[in-house]
Amino acid sequence: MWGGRRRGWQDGNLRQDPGDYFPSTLKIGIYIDLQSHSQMIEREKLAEAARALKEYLAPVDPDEFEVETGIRSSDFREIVPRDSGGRIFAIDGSNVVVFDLGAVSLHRIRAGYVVYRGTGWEKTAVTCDDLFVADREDYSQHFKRYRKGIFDIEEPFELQSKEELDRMATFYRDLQEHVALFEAVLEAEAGDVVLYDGGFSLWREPYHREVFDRIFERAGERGVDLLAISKSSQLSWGRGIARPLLRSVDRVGCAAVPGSPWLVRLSGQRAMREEPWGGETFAARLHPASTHAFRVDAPGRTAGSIDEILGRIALYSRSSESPGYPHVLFRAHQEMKIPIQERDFTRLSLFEELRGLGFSEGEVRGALDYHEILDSIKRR
Amino acid sequence: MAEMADLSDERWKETPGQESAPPEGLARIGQKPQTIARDESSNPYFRIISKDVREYHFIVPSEEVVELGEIFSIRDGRREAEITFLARITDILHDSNYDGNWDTVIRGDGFYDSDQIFCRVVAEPLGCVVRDEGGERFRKARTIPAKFSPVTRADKEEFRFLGEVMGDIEVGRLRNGSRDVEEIPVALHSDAMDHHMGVFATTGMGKSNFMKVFAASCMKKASSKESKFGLLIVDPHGEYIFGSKGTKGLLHLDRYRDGIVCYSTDKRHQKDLAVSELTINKSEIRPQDIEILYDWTSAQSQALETISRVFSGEHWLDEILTPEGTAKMIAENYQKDTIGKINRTLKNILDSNQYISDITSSIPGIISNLLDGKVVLVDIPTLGERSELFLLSLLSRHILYRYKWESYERSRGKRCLITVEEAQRVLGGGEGSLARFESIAREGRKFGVGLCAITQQPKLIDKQLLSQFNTFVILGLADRNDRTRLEESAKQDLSTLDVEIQTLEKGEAIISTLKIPFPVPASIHLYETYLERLNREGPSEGRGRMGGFNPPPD
Repeated sequence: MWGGRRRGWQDGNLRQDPGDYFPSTLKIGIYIDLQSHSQMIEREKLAEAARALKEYLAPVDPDEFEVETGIRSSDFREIVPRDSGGRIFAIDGSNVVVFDLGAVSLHRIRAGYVVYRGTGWEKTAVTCDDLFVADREDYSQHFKRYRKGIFDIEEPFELQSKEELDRMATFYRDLQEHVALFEAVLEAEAGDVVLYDGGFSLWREPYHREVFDRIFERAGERGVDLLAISKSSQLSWGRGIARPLLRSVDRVGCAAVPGSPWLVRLSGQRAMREEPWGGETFAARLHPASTHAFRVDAPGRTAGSIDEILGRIALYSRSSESPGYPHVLFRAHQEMKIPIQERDFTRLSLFEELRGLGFSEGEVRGALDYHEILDSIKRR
Repeated sequence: MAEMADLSDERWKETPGQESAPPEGLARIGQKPQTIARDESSNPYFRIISKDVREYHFIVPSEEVVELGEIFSIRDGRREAEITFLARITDILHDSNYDGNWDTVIRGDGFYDSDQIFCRVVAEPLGCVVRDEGGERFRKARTIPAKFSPVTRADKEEFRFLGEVMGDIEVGRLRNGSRDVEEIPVALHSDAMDHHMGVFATTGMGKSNFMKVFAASCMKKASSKESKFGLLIVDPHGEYIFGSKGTKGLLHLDRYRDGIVCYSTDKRHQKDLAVSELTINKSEIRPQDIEILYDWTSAQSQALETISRVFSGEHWLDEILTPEGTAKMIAENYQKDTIGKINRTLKNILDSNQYISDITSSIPGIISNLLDGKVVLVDIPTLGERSELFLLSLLSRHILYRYKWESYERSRGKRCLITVEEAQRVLGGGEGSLARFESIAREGRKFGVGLCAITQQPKLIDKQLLSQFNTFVILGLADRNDRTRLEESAKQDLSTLDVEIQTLEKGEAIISTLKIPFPVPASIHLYETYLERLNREGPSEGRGRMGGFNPPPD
């Protein structure tokens, strides 16, 4: 089969269906665009990588898992989906590079929240849809405008390391998401739940702690529950290799509470190898047919009634659009995403503005980071 | 979409007389979120969202039922003149604002975001109605409606202009999707009839019903002396005269019976006082009429051609069958066997076609009535296919000759439309074609003679001949090759109607014709219902009103 594929290329027969040459497992796996690439990774290297990954994804021995993580099967609790009224808010944000000059880059940042009552969308609020110039010599006033203006934080925002400076736009996007989260908390009423796409463990970082404290405090005053739900997690367990904790928790949880959504407290267990962050962290599977369990961070107030709140969230994690994931977060992701077309439009509009200021196309092109020039030329 | 309460944040509302709390959040720095709430202003449905001059797109909620062929109107208020674009649905697709193939597996409890998951409707522009100081007029659309122009189902007011461009031969009602627009009749133009008409449908889709409705409207015109053409129908199945299998016939249209003249070979039908016996005089038959009936050898064909030269015109049939006649042909160097075969065939024709007479002929009367603009029905249920073709060819030859002569004399009467059932038999091109009908298709219009070709298989009709047809009545064709042939030959673009033609139901039609600016979806009248309506239009004059004897219609 494999040789046949190569012969096909050598014959210049590029129109044949690549599916004819591959075993079915490869068809649904890493599907390389065979029509347009004349070189590809050797199969043996892929097989070697697959053997390595197998160790990480292997079935979990519950006894070993309990010894290593401290999490027992009896720690998993069934989530009973039920609604106790109120709205659900969800916050998300996105960030795309519009123009990269190397030392300085221009980003389009969008953040905001959506509001649902039950299964019905009520509104979308975009709290930030702006351009941000990431200039390592000139950035702190942009942060100050929001940190001081909204959160009353006097301390100047100064990034310490080169790595942090490289991620300046991400910090700014985080800040805008936190502004959106605060706005949602201010709009929410007692009994409402506000979901944040990400983790509250950022609280440990000095740049975020005061902001989160202010948000948690205001949420507590208003009787609003907060939850952060992460689509990805770096938590791990095991000796010798770092096995993905959530994936393993998911397997053990599904065996412990079959056919139902469930949650398990991770905070306080050996599994949590990171520093405490001021709230509690859980893992939860929100729908029995879901493909994933998620990390859930809950500030102290919400952690106390986590079963009831996750019951509400699980009830509305059953949409056909995104089963097993809170639908409100799905919608927030869709609404805040900046599509590639929008990025391109912003970019072209910017070029027009520069031409209006007297710059020639050659000058604009010459200012771009050469990666952008290379990336703009597509390979056949 | 239900209207919702004002969802703007309470913090942005001011209450008079109440001390407002210090601002928090974005309000502290003078910013305000951009909010989209669920209300009418954010409703994306029924608004033009794309695409170009040839294709419009709009979206409708998933639960909204729209149909192929439905006509929608789009109001564009940008210009000084009020412009309403009209567009017909050519496709409907499931679509959403979400990328990928996430919705191909049924999971979860159902879709939550009905505002993001919808049907995309593709419509082809039909044209636009412009209303200005000069009044209301329809023209082709040379631009696109403004983005987000509102889209609504077209109603009778929007179709009013169609009433003004319709013709005088009513056949049905305008159809908008599956709904009939009762106020807008669909009618063909008499003036277009000598430009040839094709009636295309698979079996059972309503060809005969259409022809009866069409003929009834022609009878009505003829009865009031308003007819602009005569209609010849040669009916080999005997279904038009009194109907069959529970349906009504043309002679049941008592109110306009004086608009039709019937000739029949069926003795039972001749009992009706309005029906005359069909006769053809021997002298009216030419050797070329015989030639089309059989597959002749080359020598036999040459002998048939020679007959006209050897025998004196009108009496050749009698002369060739005598020993002297046979001798004359042999003297022309034809084998005795060749002449013997021709003579035997001629005797068989004369014996089996009892309507061939030594004395009388219906042909002068048929032509005279056609020139008067009447419907002439030749009812030949007792004849076989060869005889039908023979008779049709013979009649067509005489009609074309007479109309040519009339044209030459500049004394032309009313034009004429000759109906040909199973037209693929005579318009197939090449060997499958009859030169006479090809000739009418190509040049009949010059002399006021048109063809009405009825067929289930337009794909078998020669493409060049079909392109001479300016009126297509399409009643549903399942075969893609049939549809493709029509799309290639039609004067209006039918390519976008392919799916609609495929899904037409019995009695539904697409009519493409001259003077009507786009292919019109029609619901053809059910003949029996139309008959009742026409008979109610005035006092019935009763069947047999012509008196107590069978008058010669000639």
